[in-house]
Amino acid sequence: MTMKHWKRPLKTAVGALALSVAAAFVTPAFAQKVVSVWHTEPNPKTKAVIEEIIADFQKANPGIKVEQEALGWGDLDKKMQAALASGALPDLAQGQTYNERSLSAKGMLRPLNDVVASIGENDIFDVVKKLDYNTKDKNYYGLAHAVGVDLIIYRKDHLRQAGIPDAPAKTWKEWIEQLKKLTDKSKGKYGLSLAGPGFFINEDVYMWAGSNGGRLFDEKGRPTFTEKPVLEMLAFWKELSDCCLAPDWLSRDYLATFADLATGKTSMILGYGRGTGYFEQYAPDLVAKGDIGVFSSKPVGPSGKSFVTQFDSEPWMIFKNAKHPEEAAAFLKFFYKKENYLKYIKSVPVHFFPITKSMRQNPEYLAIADFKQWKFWIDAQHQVIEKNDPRPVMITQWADLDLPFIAEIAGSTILVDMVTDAVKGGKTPLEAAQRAQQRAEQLITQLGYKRW
Amino acid sequence: MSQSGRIGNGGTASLAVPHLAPPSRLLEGRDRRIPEHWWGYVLLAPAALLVFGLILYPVVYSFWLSLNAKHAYLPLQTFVGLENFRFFMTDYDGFWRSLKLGAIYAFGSVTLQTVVGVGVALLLNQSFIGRGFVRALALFPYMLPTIVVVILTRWIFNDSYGVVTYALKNIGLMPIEMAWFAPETIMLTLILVSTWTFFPFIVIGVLARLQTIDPELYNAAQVDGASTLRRFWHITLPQISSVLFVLVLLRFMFMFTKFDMIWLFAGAGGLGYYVRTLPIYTFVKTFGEMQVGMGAALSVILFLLLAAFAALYFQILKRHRE
Repeated sequence: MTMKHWKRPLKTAVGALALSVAAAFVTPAFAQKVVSVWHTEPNPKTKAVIEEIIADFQKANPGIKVEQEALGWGDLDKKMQAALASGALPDLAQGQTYNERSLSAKGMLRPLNDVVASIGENDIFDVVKKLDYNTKDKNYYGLAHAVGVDLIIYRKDHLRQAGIPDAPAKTWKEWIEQLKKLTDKSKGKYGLSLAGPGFFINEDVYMWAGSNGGRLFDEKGRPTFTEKPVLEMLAFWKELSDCCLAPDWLSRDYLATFADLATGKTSMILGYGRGTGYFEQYAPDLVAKGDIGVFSSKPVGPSGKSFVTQFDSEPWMIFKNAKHPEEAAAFLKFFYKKENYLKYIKSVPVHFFPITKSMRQNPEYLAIADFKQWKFWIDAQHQVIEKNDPRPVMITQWADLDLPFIAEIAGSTILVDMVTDAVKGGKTPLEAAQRAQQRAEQLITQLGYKRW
Repeated sequence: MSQSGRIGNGGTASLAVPHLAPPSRLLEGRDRRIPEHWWGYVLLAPAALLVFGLILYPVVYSFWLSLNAKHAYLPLQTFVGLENFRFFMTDYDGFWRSLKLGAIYAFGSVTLQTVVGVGVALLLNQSFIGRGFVRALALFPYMLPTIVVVILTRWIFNDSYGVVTYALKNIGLMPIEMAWFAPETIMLTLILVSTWTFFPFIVIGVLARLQTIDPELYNAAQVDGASTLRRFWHITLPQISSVLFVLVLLRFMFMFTKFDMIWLFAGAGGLGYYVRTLPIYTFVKTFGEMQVGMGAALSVILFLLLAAFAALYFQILKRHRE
C-alpha cells in the first residue's frame, strides 16, 4: 500500500482525535461539579457517616457531587505535600493547624468566615477560635472538625502488679522510675510504647520540649534547638529509649502501640479517645474489668512548670485555587448543620469533642451510650482542655502559629533526625541539636523566611 | 504487490474499484500541493511528540530546575547556578550518608540476588518431576506487588505478633531483645526482603542462557574427569557471564534507584533514617522541605552517577571480553 492510500483514514483519525480532545476540555453545561474532600478519619464508621451526609447534600444540591478520601494522620501530610507540589489539590481538606497557617500566610486558602457565620461565631468555643482565627487579617482560614487531647493511656492491672500507685507521675524522673518497674526485657515487655514514624516523633518533640519549659523557635522565628530545655528533652528521650522502649519502637505506627497495650507487651502509650473502639473490639476483657485507664496530666521536665499536650483539631481548609471552592463551602456549611454534625460526632464520640457550645449541651449528644463506659476519658480531656492550655502539633507557644515555615520544618526530617541522632545514633544531645539547628536555619534561609 | 493480487481470489473487482483508483487520480487537486515525503514526517510526529514530551522535556526541565532555588508550590524561583550542587558536595550527613546507604543496599542486595538467582537457575535447569511447577513457583515473589511484600513481611516478622519472630525466639534461634525492624537491623532486613523479591529476575535470565549451552561441552568435560565444581567454573560461568553482566548492571540500577520498598518499610524519618538512600533523600528535599530545585539537583546527580557506573561497567565488560 502506498502512502497516498493512508491520507483519508489519517485525516479522519486526526479529525476524531481533535474532536475528542475538544470534548474533553469543553465541560458541558449539564456536567456535575465534583468536590473532592480529604479528611483524616479512615475508620469505617466515620466514613459511612460522611457518606450519608454527602448523599443528603447531593440530594439537596443537584449538580454537585462530593467525593471523600480518608487518610491517616501521618499520610495526610505527605499526600498534602505532594498535592501542593504538583498542583493537584482537593477542594476541601483537613490538615494540621500548621498547614492551615502556613498556607494562609501564602495566600492559598479561601476565608471561611461565611462558614463560621452559618454556625454562629458565638456558639464556637473560644479555644477553637483561638486555633483558627487569624488575628492579623481578621479571617478564619480553617475550622476544626472536632477537638481532642493526647493523654497517657495505661494498663491499671500492670500498675497493680508492679505495686505502683494508680496516679500520674509528676516529673520525668518519677515517670522513668515507674516505667523501669514496668519493664522486663527478658520477657519482651516494655514500660512504654511510642509511635516511631516521623510525624509522631515531631509530636513528642514539641510536647516534651514544651513540658520542659522549652520552645522550638524564638520571637524572630530562629530555631532554639540548642537551648537547655530541648537538650534536656533529648537526654530524657535517650534514657527512656535505653530503659523502657522496645528496640524496634521506631518502626511502630500509632495503631501498633494500641496493639502493644492491648496484648500486654507494654503498659503505657500516648493516644486519643478513638482508641476506645480499638479496645472494645480487640480487648473486651480489659474493658470489662476496667483495666484501661488514662491520666489527666502528663509529667513535667526538670526545667518545666506545667505540661504541654497536643490539642488535636485538624481544621478544614478550602483551597482558593481549587476547582469548586464555593461548592466546597456549601458542603462545609451543610456538614456543620446540627443534625449532620451530631451524626459525625457520634461516630467517634470519645475523641470528637464538638466545637460548638450548643452541641455540648444537646440532650442527644449527652445521651451517647459510649459516655457511660468511658466517662473517665471524657472527664480527663475536659480537664486538660479547660485547665492546661493544650496546643496544636509543633506549637510550643501560641505565637508560633504565625510562623510561615512550620509546615516545611515538620515535613523535613530535621527534628526526627535530631531525636534519632541523640537516642540511637551515638551523638550527644548537644551534637544532635547543633546539627538540627544548622539544618533548620539553612532551610528557613533557603525558603526566604529568615528574620533574625 | 499488484492490485489484483491484493483483492485476492475471492474478491470482487466491482467492490474494490472505488478504493483502487490509479495513483495519478490521487495526486490531483489539493493533494498535489503537499509533497509526498511530508506525510512521512506527519506519521512520525506523534512518536516524536511523545518522546519529546514524555522523556526529553522532563529531563531538560529537571536540569534547568537543578540550577534554581524553587519552592514546590509558591511562585518563588531564583537562578542560583551550581549552588545546589555545591551544597550537596559538603552535605556529609545528608547527601554523602544517603549515597553510602544506597550503595550498601544496592551492592548487598544485588550480590545476594545474583548468588541466589544463579543457584536457583542451576537447580531449575536439572531434570526432575514437577520442574514446570517449581519454575513457576520460583517466579512467584517477583510477581507480587511491593506493597503486598512489605505488608506480609511486616506482619510475619513483627516483634509483637509476627509468627516467624515468635517461632525463632521460642526455639532460641533469635535473642529475645532482637527485632527485625530496629535501627541496627533494618538494612539487613531490607536487603534480605529485596533479595527474596527480586532474585527471580536473575533466575529468568540465567535459566534462559543455561538452556542454550551445548550439552556436548559438559559430556566432554565429564569424560575428561572434570568435577561438578570445575564444570561450573570452566563451562557454565564463562557461558553465562555475558548475560550475568547485563543482569547485574540492570539490577544494580534498579536497586540503587529503589524507592517504593524502602519507603513502605521505613518512610523518611524515625526508622527511615537508617535506610535513607538517595531516592528517599530526594523525596524529602522535594516534597518534605518543598525545595524542588534541590530535589532536581539530587536527581541529576543520581542520573550522572548511574551513567558513570554504567560506562565503567561496560568498560570492564569490554576488557573482560578481550
